[in-house]
Amino acid sequence: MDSLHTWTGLVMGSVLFAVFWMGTLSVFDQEIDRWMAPVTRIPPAEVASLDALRPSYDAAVRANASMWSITLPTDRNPVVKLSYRNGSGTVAQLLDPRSGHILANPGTLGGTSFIYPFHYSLHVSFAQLGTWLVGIAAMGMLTLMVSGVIIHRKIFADFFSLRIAKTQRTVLDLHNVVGVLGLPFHFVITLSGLMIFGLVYFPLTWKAVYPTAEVFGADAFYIFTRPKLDRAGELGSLDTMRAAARREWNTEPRAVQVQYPGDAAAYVSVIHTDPGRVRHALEMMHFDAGTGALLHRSAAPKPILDAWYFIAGMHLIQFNNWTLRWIYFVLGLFGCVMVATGFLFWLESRRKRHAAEGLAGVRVVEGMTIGSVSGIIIATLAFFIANRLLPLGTSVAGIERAALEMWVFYLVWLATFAHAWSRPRAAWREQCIAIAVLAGAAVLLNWVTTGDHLLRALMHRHLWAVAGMDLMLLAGAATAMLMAGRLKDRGALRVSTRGKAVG
Amino acid sequence: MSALAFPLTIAASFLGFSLLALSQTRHWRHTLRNSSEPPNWLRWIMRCVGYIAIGVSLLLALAFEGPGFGALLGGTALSLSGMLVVFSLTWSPHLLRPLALVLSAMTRPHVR
Repeated sequence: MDSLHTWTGLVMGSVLFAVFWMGTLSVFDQEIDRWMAPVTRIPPAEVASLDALRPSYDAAVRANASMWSITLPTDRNPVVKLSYRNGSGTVAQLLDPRSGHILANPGTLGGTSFIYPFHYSLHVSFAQLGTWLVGIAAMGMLTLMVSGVIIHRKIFADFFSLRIAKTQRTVLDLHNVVGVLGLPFHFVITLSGLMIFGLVYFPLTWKAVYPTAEVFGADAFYIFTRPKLDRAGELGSLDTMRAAARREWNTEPRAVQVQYPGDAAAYVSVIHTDPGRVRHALEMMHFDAGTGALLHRSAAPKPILDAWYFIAGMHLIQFNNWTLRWIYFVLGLFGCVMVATGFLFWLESRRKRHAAEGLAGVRVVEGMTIGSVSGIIIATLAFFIANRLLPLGTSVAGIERAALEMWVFYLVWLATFAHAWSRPRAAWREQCIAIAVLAGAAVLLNWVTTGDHLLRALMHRHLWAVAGMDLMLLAGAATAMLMAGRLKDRGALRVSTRGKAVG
Repeated sequence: MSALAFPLTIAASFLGFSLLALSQTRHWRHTLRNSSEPPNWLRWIMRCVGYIAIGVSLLLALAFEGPGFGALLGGTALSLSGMLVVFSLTWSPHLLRPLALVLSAMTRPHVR
């Protein structure tokens, strides 16, 4: 059990830290979007008329798009998003719901399109390899939690113990305390994450029974489809359909989609979610695009599907509950601490022996740990800073602005590994200082480039997302500074003991 | 959603975990800054009341927030308040000292 825990942690640790880190940030993905896309920092408002969005629909018809969609504003995301796929990719426009004006392209993937997908796919889309890697890491995480409880020598005696006199003791105590006390949350969040992708990880469960994904979708999730007719068709009033959906659900729908724009078989799907409940289910009403007649509506889910909606919902936190959102964020950070201290304990308990026996293990793993822990944090901050420094509309060698931000992330991340392997003794401290400097710089750059400094952001309700982001960056900077200070003391200590041994 | 749900849930489970921690000699001594030991009957009471307080915390969460959000709040509040107790014991044990002093006063007639 001991070696199972050690080896699983060693092999999976880097991926697990990345998943925990990105997952923790994803708790506030839409708030990160507000920070990274300043054009979207507007007070929320209702969209007066969907029919007024007709020009975008006509463009989708001309582009022969397979689908046209409107995502309506919410408390966390105040803009309207119009999008359709044409031959070469997705065309997306953001709209101010108050004026109906089209907003400038923010040129960023932000929290919802970079950080959140990184959490579950590592942005490796080839053969869903990233999703599989995350799945394997999640299985590893479950193994680690079970084996960790079994090998814990004094789980009750040390339940509340955090002794900070000696580094190795502190690291192990911290690992044990966040591991044991965070266990319920970490276990449930890992298991539910696996269950969300259950159909990816266990494809035979449905492929063995259903001929196609459509038939399975219709039977399991009540997804309505009908074939395209390849004849021209009209679009009736979207507002009438929205009104019918509002009468049904008593709230504004989340999104409206039109399948096969311009076709005689086109149909409108009005999508509703209930942010007042834990369960995350997409309920839909489908209307004939031309006549506006109701074609189909999703039935009440069967008990197993309902349970799955609850499990997925508590992982995806699409509900409105700020208390829980912050708790998830804090417990997610504890997950990061657990993975990082696991690595540190591995290093601390082998450092002397490996040095004496001339083994390279500690050196290699230390570089990997620094790159995976402080490195990904630095890369994330560099991503934020690139976002504030690159002017809108920039492109370099045909790479669009949004992709440039991603390149900055990956190149900086790579550089942190190189730095960690080339300067293993100083890297921890230097990267902590880098985190502090970059986080502070991000706050400053946000102020300089948008004028939304912390005080201003705190005074306006619609800027609270920006204020929260700035406050977390400042808290991160302070924590990193504190760590750098403590690492300096420790470094001095180590040098002096070494000097004594040599002398 | 009531504004009281979170503070009450956290407070109840914090009290519960504090009692469980103080029922252990190491934390009892550290908090009281002496070398006394809680008598067994007091240990037993601390553990019972501790578990009851944690149960009450879960019930409070469920009562305020309903079965869905209540279960999530109750469950996550346990992790959070447990860590708060750990951090208090390490960095600011004076937070738990009043509780420990009250409990220690209860033992006085039995010392002799």
